[in-house]
Amino acid sequence: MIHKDQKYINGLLNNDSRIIDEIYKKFTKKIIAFVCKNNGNESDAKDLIQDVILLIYDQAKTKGLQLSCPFDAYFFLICKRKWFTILKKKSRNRVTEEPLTGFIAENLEEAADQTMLFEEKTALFQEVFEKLGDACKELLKLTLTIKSMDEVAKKLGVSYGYARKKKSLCMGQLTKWVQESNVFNHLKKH
Amino acid sequence: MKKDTILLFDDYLQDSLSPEDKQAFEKKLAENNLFREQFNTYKEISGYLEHKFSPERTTLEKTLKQTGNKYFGDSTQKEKSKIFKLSPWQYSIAASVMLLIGFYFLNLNSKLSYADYAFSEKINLVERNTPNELLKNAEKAFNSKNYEQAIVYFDSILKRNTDNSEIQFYKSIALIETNHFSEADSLLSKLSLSTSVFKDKALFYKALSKLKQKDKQASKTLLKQVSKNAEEYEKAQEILKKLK
Repeated sequence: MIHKDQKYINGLLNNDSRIIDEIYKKFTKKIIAFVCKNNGNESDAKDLIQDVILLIYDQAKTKGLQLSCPFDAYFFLICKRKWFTILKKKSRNRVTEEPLTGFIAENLEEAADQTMLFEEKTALFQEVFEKLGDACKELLKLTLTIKSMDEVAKKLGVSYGYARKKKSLCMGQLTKWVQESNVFNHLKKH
Repeated sequence: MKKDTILLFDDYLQDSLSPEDKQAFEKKLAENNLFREQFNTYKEISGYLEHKFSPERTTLEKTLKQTGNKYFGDSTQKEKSKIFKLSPWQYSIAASVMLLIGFYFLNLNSKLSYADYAFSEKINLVERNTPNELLKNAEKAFNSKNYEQAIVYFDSILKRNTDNSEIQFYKSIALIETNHFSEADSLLSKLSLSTSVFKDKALFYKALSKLKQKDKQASKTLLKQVSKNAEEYEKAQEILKKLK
């Protein structure tokens, strides 16, 4: 069953500023309070909130995320988990663990797990992409945004055949690195 | 992975294989586990990167930044400014930048235009569970800035549902865009006096309509009435400053 709060996800997909406004207005106060209580400040909360909304959007757009639990609880849980990860990286481990009172929603944990796995995977894609040489990066950016290879070749001042060959080399390298990565093989098990 | 395999994946995803090749490809996909796994990984990476570089994502990122700034206000700015320590040459650069910004705003002052504040959001009329052709067409026409066409669709919707304030509001935006001012203004007046959730927006866009008609005085009077709680309050104040 799709939850009625799917409207927030659809709002993000449509870049609907009214819905985005509503998300900030209704759901961010407790996240700010949580971050401030756990070694962070308002500016950290601001960045965290933006990253998490973008993450949810990415998952909705590429994986067709459908919400089966309340948005409020889901959003807060992701923010919490992501903030824990950030703190761990900064190795300031003391986080006040609180049970999510009032948030006993069906499917919530599972939905949050999926989103966190999705994040790990996309972070890997991003990391591997950054490892490519500049020429590869530029070519891939162009071929993935401009659909016509003819146009890409013209823009780069190379022949169609060369652009295509180069794209396949770059994508091949990318796919190979991803497949070889431990993170990816670990994630596949889920 | 072989280069040819990647080229094949690419061709398949671009749908440029011949029917026979496509069939052979799909057969291999069904039968060969390794091949399928490679293809799925390729598709996933390529799909994600395509999304990551898409203009839609950049637009959303921008909206989020703006909304974040609105809600978090200056407190985060202040905190950040404490951290920066400027060296003398940085001060001189900062000073010239400030001067440039100053000139920019002076310029803006004289060049206040309707287009800077015109309604630019994409509207969303269609609900996923209840597809409605008319709403879909109206949404599509409006979002692709085909306002004349959008008005025709809005009128058909309003025929069945006269009191739909959302449609009335979008129709009035389309009317301003197509310079049908008197009709736009009367529709917006009606909305701004109603109890609809669009009443604040209606008042603000009526002021913008006046601005587009170069009636600065009327625009000013209306902007002063925009309520402090309205989403457009800050924009209204900004325009008022420029109108002085």
